[in-house]
Amino acid sequence: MLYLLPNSQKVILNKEYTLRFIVVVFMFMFATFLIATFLLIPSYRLLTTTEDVILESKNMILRSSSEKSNKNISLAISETKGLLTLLTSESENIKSTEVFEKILSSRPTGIRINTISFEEQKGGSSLVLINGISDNRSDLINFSQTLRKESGFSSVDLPISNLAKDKDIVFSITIKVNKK
Amino acid sequence: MILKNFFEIFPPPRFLTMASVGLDISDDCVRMMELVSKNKGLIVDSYTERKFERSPNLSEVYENPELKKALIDIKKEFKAKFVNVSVNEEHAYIFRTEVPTKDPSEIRSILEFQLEENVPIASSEAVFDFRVLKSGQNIHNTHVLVTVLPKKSVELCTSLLNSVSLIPVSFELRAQAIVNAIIAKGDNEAHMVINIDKQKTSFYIVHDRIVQFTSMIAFGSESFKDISKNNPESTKSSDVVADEIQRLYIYWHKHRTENNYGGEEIQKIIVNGEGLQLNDFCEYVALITRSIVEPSNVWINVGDLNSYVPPIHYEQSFSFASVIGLALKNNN
Repeated sequence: MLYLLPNSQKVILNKEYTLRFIVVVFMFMFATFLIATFLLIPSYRLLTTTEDVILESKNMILRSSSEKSNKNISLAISETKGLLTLLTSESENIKSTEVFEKILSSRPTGIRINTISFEEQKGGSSLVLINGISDNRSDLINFSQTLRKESGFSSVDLPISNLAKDKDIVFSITIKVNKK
Repeated sequence: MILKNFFEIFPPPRFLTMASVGLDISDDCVRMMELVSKNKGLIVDSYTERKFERSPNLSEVYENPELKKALIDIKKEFKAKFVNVSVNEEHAYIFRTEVPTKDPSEIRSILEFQLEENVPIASSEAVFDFRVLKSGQNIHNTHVLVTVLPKKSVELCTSLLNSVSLIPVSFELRAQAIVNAIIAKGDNEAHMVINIDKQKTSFYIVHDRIVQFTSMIAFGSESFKDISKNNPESTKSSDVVADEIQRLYIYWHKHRTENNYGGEEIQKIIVNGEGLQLNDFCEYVALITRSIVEPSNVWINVGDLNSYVPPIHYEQSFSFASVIGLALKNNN
């Protein structure tokens, strides 16, 4: 196809076409934006509703969890309170740690202690039960005599039957501790 | 091909295609027509014709103030902005040449250098374009038909159109516009077209639906009236026509290039003209040339006349051939 146009006219036509092309591109973009907006309205409504539901659920969970945590805190406080009470009461009576220290410092090398139990008695006194194994009879006798010498122990009871064997004697000593 | 099918399915917006209408400017008349696609064919969407007083003192019709008034009237009536404009072939030069390249941009620069060898105007004073001819091609060379217009003439027309808010998209020779309308698409044979205006008769040799050669005699439709009644004046004009046809036949058939291009046998003579008994004229031409002569059908490339009746009367339609050809450019 012939055009036979002077260059100035070709420039005018090119400018006109470019301008029209830009207008069409913008119109398409605007139309796309409008259509996309229109099509996204249902999704937007759905999402906002879902968001409301989720927020409501979140608030409910937060409310219930705060109630639970309050209960847990109360429980922890009451437990701590109980322990503190126990510790306070112990400080007024006999300290188990002091008793254990005395027992362990009196122990000769041939004595192996398996268990020590501490039991508070009515009236402020306490009962300590020691179970263990002694290598020989003399070590066991020494141990019981050393315990008897300790101040605060009102009685140290080592049954005679425990001295029946010479070696590897399984023993059980009961100590009565008086209130300070 | 794929792209063509794609655009058939998804046509670009009309705003972007910059749809243009045909605008035929002759010495005393301006015609405008717009063809639009409908039901796989074309229909006339709008057309108009404005006659104005010719001004013999002016060298260019574009300087005629009456033409400007007519264009302003047309612009008021139509919303058209882009126009395909016809240019009289008297102002134009056509030549055929061979260039040793296939690249269009290289062809253009080669032609720019060759221009002054072929036309009597400087390349700086000319506006030219070319068509690649289908026939006679070989591996190395390209046969092109170059159309050259004086830059001054084009700029006068452009400034006139711009002054009435019209933008020319293309200029086309009036002869080529007529050929686009009256030679069926796909008919690539050689034909002779005789176009009769009121005061002149033009002869075109057409091949591959491209005007290869034009000539003109100063006898118009007024001179051929009563051609069948042996009117002495008509007989004289008819003899001139006969001589011109004979001259063209000889020129065309002798004018064959080294690559055997050109000079193909003229299959028929198609007559397009206004204001005369066309059938009588065709009979007369057939008698003197012993060739097939037929009146033109200006709607042949618009659509099937069995399914669409154009709004222009048959006798009137011949004068619209050029504007139809220009309007068809938009739909090609």
